[in-house]
Amino acid sequence: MKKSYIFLFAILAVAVGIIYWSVSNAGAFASFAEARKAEGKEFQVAGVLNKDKDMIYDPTVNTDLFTFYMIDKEGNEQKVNYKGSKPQDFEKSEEVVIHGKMDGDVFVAHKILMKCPSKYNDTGSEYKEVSMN
Amino acid sequence: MNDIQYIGEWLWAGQLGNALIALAFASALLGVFSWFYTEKNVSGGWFSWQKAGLFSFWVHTLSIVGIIGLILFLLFNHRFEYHYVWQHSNKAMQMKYILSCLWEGQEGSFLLWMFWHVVLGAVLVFTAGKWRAPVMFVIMLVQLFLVSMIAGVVIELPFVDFKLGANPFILLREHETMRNMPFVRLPEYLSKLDGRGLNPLLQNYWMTIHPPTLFLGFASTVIPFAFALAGLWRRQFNEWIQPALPWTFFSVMILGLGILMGGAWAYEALSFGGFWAWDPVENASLVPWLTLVGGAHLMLVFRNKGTSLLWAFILILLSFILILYSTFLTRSGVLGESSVHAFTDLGMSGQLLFYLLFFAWLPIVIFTYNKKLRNNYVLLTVCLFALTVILGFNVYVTIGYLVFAGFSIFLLVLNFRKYFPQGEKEDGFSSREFWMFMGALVLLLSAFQIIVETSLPAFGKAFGEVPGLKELFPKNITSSSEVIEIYNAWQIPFAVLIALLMGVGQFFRYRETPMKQWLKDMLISVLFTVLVCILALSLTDMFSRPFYFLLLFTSVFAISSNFHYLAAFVKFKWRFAGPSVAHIGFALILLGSLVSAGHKKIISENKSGVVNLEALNEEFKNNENILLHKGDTVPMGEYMVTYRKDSVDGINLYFAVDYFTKNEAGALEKAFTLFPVLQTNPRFGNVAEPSTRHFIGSDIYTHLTYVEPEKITKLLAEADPNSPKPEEMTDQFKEIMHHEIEDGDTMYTLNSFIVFNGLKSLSKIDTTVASDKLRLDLQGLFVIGDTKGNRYNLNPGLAIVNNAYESYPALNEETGVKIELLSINPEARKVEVSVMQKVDAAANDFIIMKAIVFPGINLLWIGCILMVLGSGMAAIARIKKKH
Repeated sequence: MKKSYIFLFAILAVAVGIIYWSVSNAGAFASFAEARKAEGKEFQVAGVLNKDKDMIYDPTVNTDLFTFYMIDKEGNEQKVNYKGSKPQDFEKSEEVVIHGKMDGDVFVAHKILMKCPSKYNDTGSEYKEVSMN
Repeated sequence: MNDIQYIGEWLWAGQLGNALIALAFASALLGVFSWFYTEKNVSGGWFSWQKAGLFSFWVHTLSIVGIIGLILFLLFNHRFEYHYVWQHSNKAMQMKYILSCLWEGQEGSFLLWMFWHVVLGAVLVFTAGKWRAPVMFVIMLVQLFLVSMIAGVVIELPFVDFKLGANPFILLREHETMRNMPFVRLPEYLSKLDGRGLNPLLQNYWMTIHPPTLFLGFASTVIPFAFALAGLWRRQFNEWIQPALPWTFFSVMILGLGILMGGAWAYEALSFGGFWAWDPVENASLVPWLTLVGGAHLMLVFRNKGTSLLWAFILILLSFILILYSTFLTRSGVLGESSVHAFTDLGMSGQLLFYLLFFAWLPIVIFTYNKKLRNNYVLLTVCLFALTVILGFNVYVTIGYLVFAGFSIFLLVLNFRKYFPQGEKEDGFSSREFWMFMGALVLLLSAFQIIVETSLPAFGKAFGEVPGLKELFPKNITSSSEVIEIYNAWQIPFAVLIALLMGVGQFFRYRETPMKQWLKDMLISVLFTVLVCILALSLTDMFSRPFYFLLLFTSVFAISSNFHYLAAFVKFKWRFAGPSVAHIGFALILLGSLVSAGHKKIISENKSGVVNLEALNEEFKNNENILLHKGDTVPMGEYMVTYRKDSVDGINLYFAVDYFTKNEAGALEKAFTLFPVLQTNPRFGNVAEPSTRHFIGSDIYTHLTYVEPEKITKLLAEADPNSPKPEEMTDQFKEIMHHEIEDGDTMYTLNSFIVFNGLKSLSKIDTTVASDKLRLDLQGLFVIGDTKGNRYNLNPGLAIVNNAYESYPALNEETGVKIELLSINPEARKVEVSVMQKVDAAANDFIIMKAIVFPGINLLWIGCILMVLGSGMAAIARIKKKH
């Protein structure tokens, strides 16, 4: 057998290994309902911050605990404990993605991604900035 | 509706701009045909296709430069009637950022990309020699696609409408997000308008130098691609390598520089917490660079030995296709929620995908020399494309594409067997090219791993419904939350292999190497490496993990053996030094990343987080952030730190943090002061910028993670001479909760809990009084418990007088909790309460900060400089060799 075939075979084997590893360790977007069903399993949940409920961040007590309520895309609300400081302008966020898992009746998040409307695109609401009187 | 006579608009500029875009498109189209027929040697009698090709190229160049010049002119004159100008600049902006405004948006970055293509094209027109026609053909074809990205034309087809590109000359009042605004009806709207402005985060020199470098890197990858295609087209499989070599190394250098600049920017000015974050946008530019480096090495192998030609083709063609794939991934929005970094979707994902597929498809068509087969293949493609246009993407169309891809690969193999030079002599294990070949394959696999992991969300979207594939890539698949561990698990072993190959490779000769000589050459470096490793192991426990140790060993070995080669064989002659210098640089980058990223230490850590009343996860006891009250001195790592004062400069808030060390006498001595920044901007949000203290051995990197909003407002108000001095806050309380509760409910604050035991009526209801004269006095029964186990009763009152509420809040001094009853809902048996916490003015004066020590980051910087320098030297040496 030619050496080049052996290489080709080896490369393909590693490539398959890479795909298998990636897929078997991949994350998954989920709703809170799914996360509750598999407590302790890691999920990524997208949704919006419930601005009507309290956000609690008191760094004088704990610098790395921020509690808020989030509503996922199915409309379910969930209390979230985020391990970290309250992100700047969190209340202005348009969309939030959290990484973490359910622990009892709390979703414990270790990572937050947030999208703010003004930073990434311009929506009509932003026009308020220009004074027209 | 457009009978309004708007005042003061420069409509001519937009008309000129659109005319230039049309001209750029038409000239690119003419260029494509002209260079095609020049290559085909079609004679047009008096008409010379070559002259037409040159003419169209220069017209195209002028129109691209004209478009850019016009946008700069509009930016300079604050013509906010143009949406792009309005969106990316404002009157207050300094003119030195005008270039940053130009390429902040997608339209501008496409223009920057096109600009570099025409600059490179202009060089090629004079230097490409006999390769000019096919190379220019490819470049003009690429330009044709890119110009369509800024066309902004809507094509109406029977089934669907297509919007081609986003036009930079669209008027603000005609932009889709603006045209329904009331202000666009005012004829004089322009006189009162100011732009939205450039994000202050981008107003720095990095934004001026990083995008042009990166886009030059992107643009330069088209040249090796074009040469490789030209080689395929002319069936001159070997000859394209020589002229393409210097360009390939140029591309390696510039793209590498662009990527590293991005890392340096992230480290210096953004609070991502490091040099490299494996973010999709970063990965997207790294992957083509890896394949390009592999391809460049294989081109050398071929030039010296005549082998590895197939893989050289594959890697070079792949590099450009991966650039397009990266563009698609980061700009189409397919990565969606997996990255905050990715660009917004401008509705061009279809166009970007078409662009990508076209240039992946083109080499196959060119390579299919059998005319009948080629025509059928093209016909098949057109059918599939028409089907996509009519049906859109659904499961069946996706399956169609998969079958088509399989057929394309089959066709490639067929053509390869039939036309490609076969029967290459195989390289022996003791030849340099064998090891270079292995290195290129490792780079390819490394790139493959990164692209697969990054693409997972896109795969989920593409294959989430396809039977057989949806099990592998379900719709909701995304990159792992612990993605960095996954990258490390693969990339560290790959890095070990690469470093090892860089170390041993140089000492192999092309063809055969006498084993004895090779071992002798190796010995010095091995001895040196062993010495360094023993030293490193005895000094630190950084390398206790097996793969960390292996990477330390192999990268030190690569550095020493390349230095040895540089000294003993090259004798520091610069013409031959490029490869060794670049290898030393790359090995230093590997070593520097291992030490700095692998061993960064968060010194703001605090392992004694207060346990809350609520049962909290164990995780919440290890804090990574530190709370600094103004004036307090607290230990942090090996330092004592004090947050001393704050100052305001424009929109930037600076917080001076002093670092003290103990001197020999045990007294505290001020070592240095860092000024982490909070940039406040009502429109773009508040952003923390880091402040870093550089030492030779390590950096102390700090950034703010939280500042009380009240404190920010206060600081800004105090600094603004025009703002009225804020009144002293009389309200010392801050509402922390607002709820409707019922008997037995418990509320939690961060350091106490509050139990509601119902309402007590204090007054008897006198039925003889008319209901609107009734006064009802109620008292809430609350018990407050604190962390120390104390319990306090608190009884706020609520009176209902004449159908209105009168509230009598009650305060508990010990816990600082104040409760106010606001209303009652007798039907639901609920009470609306507001819970307030006493705010201690001094206690509020604090910042939350994160501090990380990055050891050995200077190794990384030196490595970056050497690698870029080495690649540049190699590129120049190749040009010299050519002549």
